[in-house]
Amino acid sequence: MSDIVSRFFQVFEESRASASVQAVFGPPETRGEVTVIPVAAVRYGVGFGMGANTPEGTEGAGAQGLGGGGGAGTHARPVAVIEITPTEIKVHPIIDYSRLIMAGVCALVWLTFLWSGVLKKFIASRTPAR
Amino acid sequence: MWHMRCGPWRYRVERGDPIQIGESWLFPIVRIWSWRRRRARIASQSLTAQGALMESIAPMAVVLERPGERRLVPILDLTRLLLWAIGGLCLAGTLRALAARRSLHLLSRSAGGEP
Repeated sequence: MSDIVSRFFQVFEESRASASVQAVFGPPETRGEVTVIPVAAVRYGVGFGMGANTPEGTEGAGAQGLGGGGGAGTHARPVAVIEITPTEIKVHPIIDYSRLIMAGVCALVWLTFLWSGVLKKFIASRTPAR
Repeated sequence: MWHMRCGPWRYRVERGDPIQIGESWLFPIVRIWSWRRRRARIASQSLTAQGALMESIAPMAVVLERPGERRLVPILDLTRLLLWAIGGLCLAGTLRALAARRSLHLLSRSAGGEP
């Protein structure tokens, strides 16, 4: 059974590898003299598990338990746009501001929490004991 | 095109089919890393679990404007770069805070030990 699962994963990786270039570089769109090619970062994931159990003392046909499950997901994120004109080629990066702001706020909260502890200790060390 | 393998990790760089734009040709380059893990036979029970993850990123494109004249166009993933920068700053701030806390602790101990 594990050979079948192994083969399934191999086929998954091979098929994804062949499709990845087309997924990352989108089809070129031409408007007048300007051609635009969208570029993305694509992520695929798949997980699969299965198991069989033979409880003690129940050896025999039909006593074996068998179960399995799996899941797969895809995530694509725009990275840049390549703009090609007759005179030049430009790459316009796409910045995900909401993600950056969220990460920045999280970092700020964490550092504030950490440094407030240090500051409290510093103030306590400077205050003479009564 | 180029590949490397290290345990469950695989890394390769591939070149896609050329795209013709006017008189120029664009060769897309894709960097693919993948991870694949398999666990089997836990204790006496027969259990198989597998997982695979794959990410494709475009680091650059090669543009062939005229025969023999090629140009590399880097494609920067600024979102990821900035996220790494924020992560680095956060790590540096955390380490600095831990060092400050440690030195304050040592300082209070040495001050308390003085006659």
